[in-house]
Amino acid sequence: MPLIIAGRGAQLVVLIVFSIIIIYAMWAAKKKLPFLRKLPAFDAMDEIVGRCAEMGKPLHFTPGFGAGSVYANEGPGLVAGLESLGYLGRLAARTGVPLIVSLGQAELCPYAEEIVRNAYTAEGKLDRLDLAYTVRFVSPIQYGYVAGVFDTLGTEKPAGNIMLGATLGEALLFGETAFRYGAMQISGGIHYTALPLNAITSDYLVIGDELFAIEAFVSKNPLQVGTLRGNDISRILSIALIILAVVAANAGLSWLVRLFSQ
Amino acid sequence: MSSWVRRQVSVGIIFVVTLILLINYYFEIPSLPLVERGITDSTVILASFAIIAGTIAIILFNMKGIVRRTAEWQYKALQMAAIIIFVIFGYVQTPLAGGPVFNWLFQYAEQPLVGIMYGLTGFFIVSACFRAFRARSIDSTLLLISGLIILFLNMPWTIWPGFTTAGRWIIDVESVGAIRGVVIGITIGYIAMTIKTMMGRVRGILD
Amino acid sequence: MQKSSKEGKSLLEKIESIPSNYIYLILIAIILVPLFAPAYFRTPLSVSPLTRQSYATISSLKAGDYVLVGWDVQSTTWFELGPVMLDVFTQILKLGAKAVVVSFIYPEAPTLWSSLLMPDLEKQGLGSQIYGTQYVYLGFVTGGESAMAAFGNNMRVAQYDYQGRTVSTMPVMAGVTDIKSFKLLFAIGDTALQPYVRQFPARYNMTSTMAINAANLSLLLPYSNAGLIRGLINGIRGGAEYELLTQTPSGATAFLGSLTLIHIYVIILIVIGNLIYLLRKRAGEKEET
Repeated sequence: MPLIIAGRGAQLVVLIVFSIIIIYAMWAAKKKLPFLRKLPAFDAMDEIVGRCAEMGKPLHFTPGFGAGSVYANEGPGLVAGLESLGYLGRLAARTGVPLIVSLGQAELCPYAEEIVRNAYTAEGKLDRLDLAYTVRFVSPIQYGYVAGVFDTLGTEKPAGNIMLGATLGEALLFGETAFRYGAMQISGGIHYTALPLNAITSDYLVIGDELFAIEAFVSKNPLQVGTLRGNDISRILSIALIILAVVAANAGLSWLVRLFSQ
Repeated sequence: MSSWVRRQVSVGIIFVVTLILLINYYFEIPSLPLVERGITDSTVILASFAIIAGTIAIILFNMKGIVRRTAEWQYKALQMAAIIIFVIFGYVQTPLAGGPVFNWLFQYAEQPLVGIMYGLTGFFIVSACFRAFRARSIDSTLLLISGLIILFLNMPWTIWPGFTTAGRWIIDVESVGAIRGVVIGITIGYIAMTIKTMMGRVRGILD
Repeated sequence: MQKSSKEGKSLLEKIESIPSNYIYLILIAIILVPLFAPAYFRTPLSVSPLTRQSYATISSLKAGDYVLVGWDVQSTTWFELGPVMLDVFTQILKLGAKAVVVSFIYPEAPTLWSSLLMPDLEKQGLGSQIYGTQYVYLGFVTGGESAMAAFGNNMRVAQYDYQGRTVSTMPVMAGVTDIKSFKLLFAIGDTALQPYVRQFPARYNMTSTMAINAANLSLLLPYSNAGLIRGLINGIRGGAEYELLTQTPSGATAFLGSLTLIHIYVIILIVIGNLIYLLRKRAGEKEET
């Protein structure tokens, strides 16, 4: 019986190569921090929190509904969205802006509470934190979650609305509603089907894997920035593999094409 | 247990579990599918407990509002009543797909409400289209033209076959090409995220 | 046409800032009127290649063939995909094929099945009359994609149907030994269909066709273009196309008139919005010069 399952050998090789590249890039970044280009969406986070502080209104954050569970496809996207919550939590604690986090996944509640608690503790403002007010598990049903967030947006009228993670169709609904209340918005995530909805309703857009770059942008931690460099090199390698596969398929190099499907 | 030890134990569990799942996906090792199934079942059980925790959080939040008579506390009371009714009939009329009362509640209470909320999407799309599809710049003009062509394509009544040809080209070539690029980028991001998690470098969750 | 701001809003400004309520009222009217008077709103319908491919794939089934049906519809997408499921599932059963239905992603799928789909099947004589002999619904198997993988390895992970009855003794299961017993996978849902693609056609080379809601069609197009999926039914419009091919106009066809008018309305709104924007921009440039 073959050890490697048929059809997955090439995938395994690619995974190992990409992993080595990313780990090497993380290590190399400790010696010299790679250059990070500007991403307007991340710079806008400070601006949005400042706007909330000036207007005396809360900041609303949601990682989106995903598939209602962190164990589904969208799990890493939801977790990546929550990474930005740590930064937003610190800004909110520092400026005294009330922070509201709406969740559609019960299993994210303890994570979100821990993140917000740590953020407020780091700023020395733990006494100002009301977890029951801040972190709200709304509903595990998508449109129950939508109804709950509508209520939050209508009652609290936030001056900033940030939707980063795995937003789907609700991005349009929340975006339009928050726009009517005059909120400034950042949205985006891993669901490319929601990108057009994010684009037409938000002021700033985060596309796909830019979501995973948040921690690097806000912390400038060498390990996190190195991961981005590793991602970029892996992406270039993917493009090279695609070109090679196209050439192989068109040049009749069937052995090479078969190699990709081993 | 100190926080350092707690953190290392968490990272260790994550590392071992992820490794088992990865090895099981790529390698044919006889006893491993059983281990993977055990891990998955444990995850499902944990998720169920998480729902209990989340429900308690909702109850606490709503009870606070009811007791303090905050604005629109009556809706919070209604939500509490709905939770209690569904839980009671869900348990009383188990198993599995529920009994007649639960089904009735689902069909005539929950479904219409969900339908209303889903139907709102259409209204918001219309107002968003009126507001946002403007030829302000080259990018937005391209978005506008593509959007109009796709609208004509999806309309059941085909006004002009050219829209079908152009629309299919936009979907099959441009859109799918862009989607593939985004998917590859996201997948690489997933790999990086997995490595960071296995190494305990995901801040916020393991802190 | 332009008035000075001191004299109040110009006509263009008034149109541009029209309250959303009026836009919504017109929308409600154009949704409802065709539903009440469908005869006046019949539109010719062209069938897309993806729906044709799906129809051809399903029509190739013979009596006794086994179909694995992935039923992962949630409450929100029921309205769009319920009529599609009814059309396709009815056709599968009428061809004499046998079906094993299962849900992996949404726990509410069994409730939708028992409270909304089964009554419609009963009306057609395809409910309890043939349940157990021609098809069985295994209910919700917990575990998401891992459960799918486990099901593919060993179908005994689902031993009971959605009402707790043992399936091994049911006549329909007599011809099912493992995943390779199935000639076709038909999966219906939304974003939940991506795991189906990874676990069944990609892993076992299983012939597959799927039905997905219109908003998420682009999720499956790369797989369709790569040949992993043979045919895609695109939401309610795809359902209407399917009904045209099977010559059984039903739930999906009823919405065609509304669908057409809504598209025309949105196009008109976009055109008006852009005309106003361009006219105001030109007027603004003239004032500056």
